Amino acid sequence: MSHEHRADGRLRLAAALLVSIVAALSQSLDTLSIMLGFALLAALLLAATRAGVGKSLIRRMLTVNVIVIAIWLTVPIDWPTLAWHDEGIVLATQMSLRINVITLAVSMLLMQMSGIDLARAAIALGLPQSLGTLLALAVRQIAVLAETRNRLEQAMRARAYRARVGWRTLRVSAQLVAWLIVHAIVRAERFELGLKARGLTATRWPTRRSSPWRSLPGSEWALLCGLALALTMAVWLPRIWS
Amino acid sequence: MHLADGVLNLSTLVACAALSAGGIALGLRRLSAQSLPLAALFAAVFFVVGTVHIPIGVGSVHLVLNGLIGVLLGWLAFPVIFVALSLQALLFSFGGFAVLGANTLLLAAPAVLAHFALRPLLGRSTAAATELHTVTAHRRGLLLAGVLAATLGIGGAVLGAAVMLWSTGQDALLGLIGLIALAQIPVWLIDAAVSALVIATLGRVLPRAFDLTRAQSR
Repeated sequence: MSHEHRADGRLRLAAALLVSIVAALSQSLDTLSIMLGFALLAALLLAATRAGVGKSLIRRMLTVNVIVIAIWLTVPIDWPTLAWHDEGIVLATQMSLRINVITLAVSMLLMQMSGIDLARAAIALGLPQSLGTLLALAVRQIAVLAETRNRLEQAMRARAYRARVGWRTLRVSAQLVAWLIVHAIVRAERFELGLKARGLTATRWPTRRSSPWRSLPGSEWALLCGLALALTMAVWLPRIWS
Repeated sequence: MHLADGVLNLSTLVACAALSAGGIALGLRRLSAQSLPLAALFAAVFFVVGTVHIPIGVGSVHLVLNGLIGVLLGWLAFPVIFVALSLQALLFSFGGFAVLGANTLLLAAPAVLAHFALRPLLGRSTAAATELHTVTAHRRGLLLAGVLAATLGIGGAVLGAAVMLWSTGQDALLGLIGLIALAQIPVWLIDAAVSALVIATLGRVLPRAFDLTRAQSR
């Protein structure tokens, strides 16, 4: 999908924060279950229409569910006696549902969003400009340092290094980290000299402005309205039923 | 070390976000046009280092090194760690956005503590090397600083996570707190060894790395 066809970053980030806050606020198992149902439905639709999305979502859900396993091993069970208690079961269920709802919804909403898009969206939603600039600069530097790391690791492998359990692995890993820090400091100094040479002294560097809210197409507002409607239904339906 | 979105209750999330915002504001006050690239590069280092895995038995642990970052950067650790965690949440779903304040606080607060606690030790070690040429004592001081940085960094993060989980679920989450603390023991041991060796290496090849915060306030 081209960049032009992706929904506005601000709307996607606002929607992700809205889902996270509503899920964090909700104590009702019914509400959280309905939210998870909606999220699963959306995930199925997305996976059916876009290649690769299903695999990426499954991988993320598997990662995050490691903590869910830890919760179920510790919260509802009294370990010396192995007795299950009701309060613990309710709390573990709440946490498991919340974790899955938030991870699934946020993963879908922010899918294929770059770090730069995140920085722009966050600045537009009120993040301080200097922090947004730092975020955008960090995205660029990650690519540079990852390349440096790959080069260093290639050199390590050329000297027959293989990561194993032992002191040598720790020494070599520490060397790798130390050289990454040295590269970072030397690069920052070069960067600083370049800035001085150009007379730049501000931390509020100009970033590409987001388009005005009113210029966003109706389909993008429909995304936020649809999500708000789904959240309202998730909160109110259990109350109507009871 | 991350807490997942959905584990903490709203009041804990709000309190952590407010404390984190305070720390980030203090960090941003120290951010100048000169230190901005350095902060961005350290955010990148923190991010990239988080993908370095060290094998232990059948599994592996990834480096955290929040104590080391704190020792080198001081209050700048708050915005730097915030940025790195935001990108980890976006790209890998590690942690999450609602819990970003809590995760920033539990990693950055011990980092800042490590900075203020270990500055005298680092200063003494580098001074000893230039004045007395006692290379062994100098190296021992740097190694100790690295071990203490990791101990404060990981220990503080575990303590922070324990307080946050306690305020969310009191006694019901004691088992989870214990499990998290237990799981961090290998991380602490590896972080301690790596931090010690990194600080010793920096002391040898780039001692000005320990003066980054002084350079920021110039």
